[in-house]
Amino acid sequence: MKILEVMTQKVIAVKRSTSLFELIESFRSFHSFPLVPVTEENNNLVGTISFRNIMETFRSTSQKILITIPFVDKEELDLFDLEITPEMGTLCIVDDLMQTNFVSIKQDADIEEAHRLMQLHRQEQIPVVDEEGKLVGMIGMFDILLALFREKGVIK
Amino acid sequence: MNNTILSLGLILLFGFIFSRIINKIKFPSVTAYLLLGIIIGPCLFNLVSGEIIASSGFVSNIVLGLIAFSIGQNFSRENLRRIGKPVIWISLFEAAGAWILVTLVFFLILRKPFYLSLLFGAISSATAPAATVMVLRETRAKGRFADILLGVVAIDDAWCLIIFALSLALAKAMAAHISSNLFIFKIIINSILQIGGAFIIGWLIGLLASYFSKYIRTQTELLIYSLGFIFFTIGLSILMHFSVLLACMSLGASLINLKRTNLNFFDAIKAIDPPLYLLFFVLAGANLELPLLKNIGFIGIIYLVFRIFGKIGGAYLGGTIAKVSHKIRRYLGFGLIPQAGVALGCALIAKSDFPLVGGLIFTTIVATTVIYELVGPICTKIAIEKAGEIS
Repeated sequence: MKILEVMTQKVIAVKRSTSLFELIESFRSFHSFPLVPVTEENNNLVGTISFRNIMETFRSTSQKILITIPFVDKEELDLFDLEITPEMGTLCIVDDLMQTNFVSIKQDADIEEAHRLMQLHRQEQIPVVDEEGKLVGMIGMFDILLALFREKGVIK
Repeated sequence: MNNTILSLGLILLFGFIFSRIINKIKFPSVTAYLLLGIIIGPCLFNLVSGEIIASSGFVSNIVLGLIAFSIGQNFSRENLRRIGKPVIWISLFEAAGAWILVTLVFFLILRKPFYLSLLFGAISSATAPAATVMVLRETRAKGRFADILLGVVAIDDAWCLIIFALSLALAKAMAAHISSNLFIFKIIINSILQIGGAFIIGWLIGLLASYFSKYIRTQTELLIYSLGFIFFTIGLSILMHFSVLLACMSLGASLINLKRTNLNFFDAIKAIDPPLYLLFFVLAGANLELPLLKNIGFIGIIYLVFRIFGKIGGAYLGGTIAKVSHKIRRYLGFGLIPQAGVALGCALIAKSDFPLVGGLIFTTIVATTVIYELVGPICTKIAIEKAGEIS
């Protein structure tokens, strides 16, 4: 079964210039914060944002530098100890938060390949792109499960 | 103690308890493991089995390989751009400052052989990022000074490994060809072979690892695959007499720059390195020969003092070239005083490569590391305070 047949095509994507305030407003009614794709004006996928990426931004020291340092005692993220100020809502933009080294999959790939990538990268969702790298949808574990249930007659 | 497995169990459990205790008094776990090693080592409680002590070279090769591999990821275009020019200038000068000053003082004032002076100088270029990060977190320092300090300690170990690999190659060649007529020519050829060869095999193995990574299916496979390639690189470098450190660093740098895959090899190995690091530091402490301590008094003091001068002077010079503020130039070197893991690892390599003088190098580095790790964080704190960046 191809990804194109089971993926979610209605996706909320954000731009690099979207502020933290706008980002949160877009998803505050959701049960939980999803993996959000970031696209350019021509719909090219350039990054993703997860809940963890947002939290990392408020750490006191830059985590991106710390990952290369050996022997550093790992500091668990404490939600109640983050440095948050009101102006961050407008000052912080998606470009600062997003992950540029992200996983994506082509729409004509098999769902087995999507499942393999999700397991390998420990992700529940992956953005789907066309041949030119433009965002066309999202595929998640739930989409794959739905497809399997449909195939086996559990649901219609 | 003869029971190796019981000894390993005790090392891990005591390490766990010790690091908890020492974290409470705001010192990094590294310090706890090192002190623990000294306490349970053969000189005091003798709880480390002879077999484990004998495997110190093996463990340190693996751990340093892992460290060098991890440090290799610093050399991506994105990372070098992120840390910025001031950090690169300051880190280059503070590392080279300590290297040159300590080498010269050992050679000219203490009248030690040049190869030995070079090894001391190279080891002195290392810092202790873990201790500095701990102080930055504790003081919640924020600002230009804190950013530059963090960047400098992050990249400093990379310079140290390069400096040490160069110095080790030179020192080995000098020690081996001391009576030859073709002295300088042989030294240069040998050093180029050791360093150039390491870079080439690291990069080639990186290409291989990157190409075949498409067959990896799970995180467990990724861990096995990454470790396999790191061990392969270490082993091949030893076999071909290339620098293990540079080969592993080159492997890390090639994987981060080739970017043929989204797999994170560096995150994968983080799952297993904490117990290995613990064992490495405990072994470093356990290898300390307490009777040798009384012989290193003057050498130790000279090393302690001139390494600090080299760091402060180098950071000032680098800061002047990078045109950073006067406060940063003046106080940054004081934030670089701690010394730990990479210096100990380099000293362990020197110990196994130069049996005659290795004991002296190693004992001096362990003893000064203990002092630096206790005094260094306090100096770092004062430097941040003087720079006016304590929140």
